Amino acid sequence: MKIGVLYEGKFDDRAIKRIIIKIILQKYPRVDPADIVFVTKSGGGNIEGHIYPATSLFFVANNCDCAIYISDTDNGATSVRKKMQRVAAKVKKAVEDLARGARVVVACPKPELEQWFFGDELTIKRVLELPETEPLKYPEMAPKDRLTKLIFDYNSYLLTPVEIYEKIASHLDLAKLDDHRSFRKFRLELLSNI
Amino acid sequence: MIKSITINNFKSIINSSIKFPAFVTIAGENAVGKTNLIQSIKFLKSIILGASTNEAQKKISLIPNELFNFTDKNTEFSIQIVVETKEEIEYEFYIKVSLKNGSPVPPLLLVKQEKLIRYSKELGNQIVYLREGGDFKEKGTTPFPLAVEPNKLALSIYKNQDTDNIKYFFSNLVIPDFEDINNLNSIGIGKQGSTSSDLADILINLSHGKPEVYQDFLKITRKFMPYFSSFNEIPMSNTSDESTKGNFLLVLAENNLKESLSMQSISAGDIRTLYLIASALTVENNSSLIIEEIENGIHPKRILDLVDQLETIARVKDLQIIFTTHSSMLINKMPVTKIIFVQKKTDTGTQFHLLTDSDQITKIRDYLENGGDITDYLNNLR
Repeated sequence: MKIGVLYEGKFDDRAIKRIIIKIILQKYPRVDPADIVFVTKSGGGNIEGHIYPATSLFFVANNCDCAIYISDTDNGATSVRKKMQRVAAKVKKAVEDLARGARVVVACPKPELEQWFFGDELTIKRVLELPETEPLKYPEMAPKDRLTKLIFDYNSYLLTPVEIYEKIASHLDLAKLDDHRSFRKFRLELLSNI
Repeated sequence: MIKSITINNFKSIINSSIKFPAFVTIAGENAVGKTNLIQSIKFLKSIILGASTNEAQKKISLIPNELFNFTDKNTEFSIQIVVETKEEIEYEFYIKVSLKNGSPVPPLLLVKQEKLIRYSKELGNQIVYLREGGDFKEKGTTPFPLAVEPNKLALSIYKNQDTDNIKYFFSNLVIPDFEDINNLNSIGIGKQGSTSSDLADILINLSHGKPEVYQDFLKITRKFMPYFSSFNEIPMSNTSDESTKGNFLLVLAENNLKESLSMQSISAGDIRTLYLIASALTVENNSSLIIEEIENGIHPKRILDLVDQLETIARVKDLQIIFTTHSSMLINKMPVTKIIFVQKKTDTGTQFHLLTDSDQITKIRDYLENGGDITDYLNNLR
């Protein structure tokens, strides 16, 4: 199985792969994760300008079975709905032009991917070695900034932020994440496209 | 950390200033002056730690005249550097060096002016001392002749808390010389207690002096070299030869191999990886590490993870890491806030631009948001 993924930030790559593998295993529990091949592209903070070349990379160059486009919805004044519609329209146009009929999933975490992680606070606490009985700090912060702050507080150089993201993602309880509508929608769409 | 530097008439740099973030890459084509910036800092480090101007010059250029910008017949260069020490005190150190007229070959490099200023929020900027040729002036005193050689700094003989602070900062500033590091003798045999920057010495000192950090070093190393198991140290002390006391032969144990390997059998990329991790872990907290062409010999996929690792160590230890690179993959992964772009033009010489201070930053951000990459943008800047 070959999956294309266009994602936003520098910390997202490995974490998103882990989440996708967990979802695929829900449908195909006997699949060896090593047999899931990823073709990835980073949007460097915003995927919109990268949708066309990514679609070419996924379907023209690599014959992916399915591609996932993940875009946060946290971009300033633009409304969440408008941003989601714009990303979806760009993906639709790129697929029509380059890979008509290809299977794609557009995921728009609200407001950011990290919000999904906070659906399972226990995992975050365990990975960052925080007391499980105390609430996570900085609830007033935006999810990306909050997780970054918690990672910086963790203050260990043995794991980079990318590795911490990956470790959190690999231990997430997806059932808890389903409380987020945007995650549940993404999970169900992915399951129906693989 | 180094906060900023202003350089006049040093090699390709006619006049340029640059502010340094805590973690930053310096990017630019070949021969635009990236190395000259690093050499100016090496020169400063040498003379601040007591070398004469000509001794410091020998480490970075063939002849003294090569230190001066060739586009004009000038015979003076100056460097002003602002650093923040571990006590969170900011100092400005300024030096003007001139070529002595009619001096023998090689010509003498004389310290024409030297100044140390302490920046303080409470007390304002205070001159610690000022030296003009042979005259020396402390805060609140009239100038008096100072018995210092004309090719050495007054800093080398003048002692107070401020001069100690600035010397301490530069003694902990690390600029690896990879020609020496790849030297086979420097990677195979380490000596306990040695202050050299040889990889084997660093590892032996780490394993004997800071075993907890050494364990961290091994854990981090295994992430980058999964086949790596451990280092074995074989004592080489010879009771009849005192100079061999504390010497160890380092050998490398790899998974799936029955015999250990000599350090000489490690690839150049692995040596560099080991060295960079060990350096970042061993330099003093709050100091600076300057790395030239960080990606040399390292696979593009590894260098991205290695830079992430170094940035993480730097954050936890409050280190400053400054590195030059030609890797477009690496530059494209760096946030624009952490890129210094270097250009050289005939009329202005080498110029350094921190991209976030550039008037082009809005255009750059727009370009990136529309799918462009930063190296394409920089390659087309004229």
